[in-house]
Amino acid sequence: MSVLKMAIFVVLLAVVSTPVHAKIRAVGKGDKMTFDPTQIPADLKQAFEIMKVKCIQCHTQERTVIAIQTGIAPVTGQPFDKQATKAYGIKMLRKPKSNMSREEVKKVVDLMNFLIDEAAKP
Amino acid sequence: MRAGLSYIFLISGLLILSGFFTQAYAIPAFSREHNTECATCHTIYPELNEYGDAFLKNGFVWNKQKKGEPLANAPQVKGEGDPDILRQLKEVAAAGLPQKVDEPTAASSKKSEPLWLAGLPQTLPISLAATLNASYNDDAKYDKVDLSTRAISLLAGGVIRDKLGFFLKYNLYSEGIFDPAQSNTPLNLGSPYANDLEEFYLVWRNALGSPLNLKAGRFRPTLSLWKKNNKTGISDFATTSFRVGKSTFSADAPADAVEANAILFNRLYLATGLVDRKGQDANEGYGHVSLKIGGSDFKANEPDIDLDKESIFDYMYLVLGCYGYTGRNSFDLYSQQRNNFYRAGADADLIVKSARIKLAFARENDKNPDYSSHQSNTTDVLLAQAEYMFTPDLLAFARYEYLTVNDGTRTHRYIPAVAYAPIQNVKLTIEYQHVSDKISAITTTSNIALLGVRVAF
Repeated sequence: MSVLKMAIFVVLLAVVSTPVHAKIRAVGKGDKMTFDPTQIPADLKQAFEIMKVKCIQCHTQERTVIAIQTGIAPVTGQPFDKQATKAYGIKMLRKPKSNMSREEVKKVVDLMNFLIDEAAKP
Repeated sequence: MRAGLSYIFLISGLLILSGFFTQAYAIPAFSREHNTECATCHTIYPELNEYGDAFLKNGFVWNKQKKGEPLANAPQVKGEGDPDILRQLKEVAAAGLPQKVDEPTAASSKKSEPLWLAGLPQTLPISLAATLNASYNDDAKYDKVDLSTRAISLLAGGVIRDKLGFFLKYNLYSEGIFDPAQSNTPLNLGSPYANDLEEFYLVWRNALGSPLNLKAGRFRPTLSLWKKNNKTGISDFATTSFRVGKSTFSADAPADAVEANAILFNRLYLATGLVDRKGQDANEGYGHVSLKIGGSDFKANEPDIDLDKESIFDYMYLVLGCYGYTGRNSFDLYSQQRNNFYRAGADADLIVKSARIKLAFARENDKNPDYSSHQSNTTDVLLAQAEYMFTPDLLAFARYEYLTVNDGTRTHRYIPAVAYAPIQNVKLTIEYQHVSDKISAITTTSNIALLGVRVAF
């Protein structure tokens, strides 16, 4: 009986102590790398679909994943924070033939900000 | 003629084959060092976009980048991505050294702290560029079709510890004289006539902590908004390439010079310099001012745009520039016949989404351009180019150039062209030139079709 109680206690402890979205998970490697879709909440699924289709027209998703996970933009070496996500969004909006509308850019920026918040959780 | 047509068919075949290219990576020196694609800085290589222009103006450094220097707050590495990359990131973050992270593991593992400590680039900063041209001139009496290997150049560029930028262009081969006893293609003339060392200069960035960048070496003085190779077409802009009489001056010719330049208020760019023309006791001088309205600034900071409100002004920017150059040249070192001259010009570069308009005007006044008669000469050149990017790899433009001299000479040039980059480091250009010259009441015309292939690797 005591063993069973101990087991239940350990399981409960494990469940309670596991933070939700504490880390940003990625799946795949190299140019196939992308965010683990299971950690994207329902209200950001559409933004994730936009990101998966539009962003990879010019660069791999790995670049975005690394930027979010490390907090550093890979090419420039600059901090990748919420100020940077908006700047990159504006850059992509202004980029000729980026094929991204204002609404799409806004959604992707919101998604990246969410991911940054999640990555910052302990 | 039949052989010429064969060449055209051969090149057309290559053009068609190029349509089957699906994936490739641009890898010249800057691309390698910064692990980024050509399109980061170019529309269609080698024409610069606004980020490439900012990179050039900042001495080959990204805005605020502290590449290779310790960060004040080393980043905390989080996540569960590629375990190999994350392991390296954690090592770098622990050491307080930033490192590029999106490279393949094998490349990342080659990062060398000793190289960084020694101030050396992580990659060998060298690349090659080559151009092939084919032309068809129906007005020519002979050799209507000409296939030529125009040039092969060694390019190097980079920055050491964000302090010392360097750029080098060495022409390994440039088409020269034709000697059928040696070869059935023109040979390299050889130094010094081949102008082998086209550019080599050093830039001391932010000298003594000031906004000033000091540049010295052999380079093209900063005059026009567009450097000679900052174009998608084959022919040069008339406003910078024209010469007057026997004068050897051209605004886009490289020269031994020193230059100080600076970006002020992020949107104002100033440059001034001295040119040392060999054999003269007086140096020549020049100045340049340009202003950017809208878009990202000269340090590549994005404008603050409200993502909730639509405005056409968010997609446009305008760069205005003006310049002046004053100098004196002569026929040879011992000649007493001097030609004092000045060149003044103004440029405008307007971008609205995928459309681009370039306007330029230049005036040159020469006191003695034939080195004998002391007959003053004033030449005005106007240029207007409309450019449109249909897709990221396909661009077309139409250019009109008008040159007028105070002796009555008039030249009109109409130049439509299409540039296509099947992969980012390969550019194919088809350009047509219709030229109408009026000299002493006699008008002549010529029509030339050009096909150019440029590759860098």
